[in-house]
Amino acid sequence: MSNVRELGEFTSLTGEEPIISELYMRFIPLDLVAHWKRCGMVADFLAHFLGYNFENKEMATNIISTVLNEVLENAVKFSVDKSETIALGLRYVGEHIEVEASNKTDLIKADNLAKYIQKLHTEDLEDLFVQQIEHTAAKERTASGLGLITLKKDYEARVGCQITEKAPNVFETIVRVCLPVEKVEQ
Amino acid sequence: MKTESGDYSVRILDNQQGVVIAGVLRLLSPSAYEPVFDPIRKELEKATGNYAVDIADLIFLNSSGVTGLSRLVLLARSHSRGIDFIVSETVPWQKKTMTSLQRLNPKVTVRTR
Repeated sequence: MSNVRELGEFTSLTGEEPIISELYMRFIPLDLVAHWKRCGMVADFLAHFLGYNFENKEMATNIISTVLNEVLENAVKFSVDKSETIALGLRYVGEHIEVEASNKTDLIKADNLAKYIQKLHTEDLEDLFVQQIEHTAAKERTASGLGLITLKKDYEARVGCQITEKAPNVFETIVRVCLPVEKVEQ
Repeated sequence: MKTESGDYSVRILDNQQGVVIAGVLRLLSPSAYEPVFDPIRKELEKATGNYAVDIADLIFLNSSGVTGLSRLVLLARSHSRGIDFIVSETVPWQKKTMTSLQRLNPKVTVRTR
């Protein structure tokens, strides 16, 4: 389908293995913007839920919550219509933990996401991290642009997105971050 | 001087000895961190050498907060100084992120508490 683009490492690695844990939640972005702390509450809740699967629960919970929070915060920030539902999913299968978030956005933001995901796969991540900080320091922005770089750089996460045109200037984006379990258990 | 909310505390030590940031910091945007970090900026500007930032008890810092801390690193760089970050081995993001900030300012150090 020509109106669907996949960028980066979007393909799920979960394959045919049985699902160990799976949770999906839906939110109204405005609800989270009004009380921003709710993003962290949701991330912590899901991370604690999954953390029971790991020997070092404290460390696993911290890493999983960090990933969930960054992905959820992005979905809220890049939702153009803050009353349109967004979704957050967590899946633990085999040797991977997948976190994904979907939201609706406009053409400019969808294209920016596509360029950003491509950069993650073509540039040195440490260089990109520094460039992004210098870029944000020069001009005030609502988002740091560091979240997904950090997840890929520090936890060797696979990061990808799917962008689907739903209507003129309305795009659904799904960002998927796949974390190797060995990184959670380090 | 101490700034506190239900989630975090920022305790500035006397005589530019440094700052201790603890708890959970997940604010909305980089600009939301300005009121929290402004008192640190003022102290950092008065310091004569490297300034100590102890984040060992900071459990979470979102990417907007990393931008906030990186601005302190850039400020120190503009004064030809560094920041000595004190981190915990048990909070996984701390050492990874602060080590990356050394690329912004080679005078930044990272040590564990």
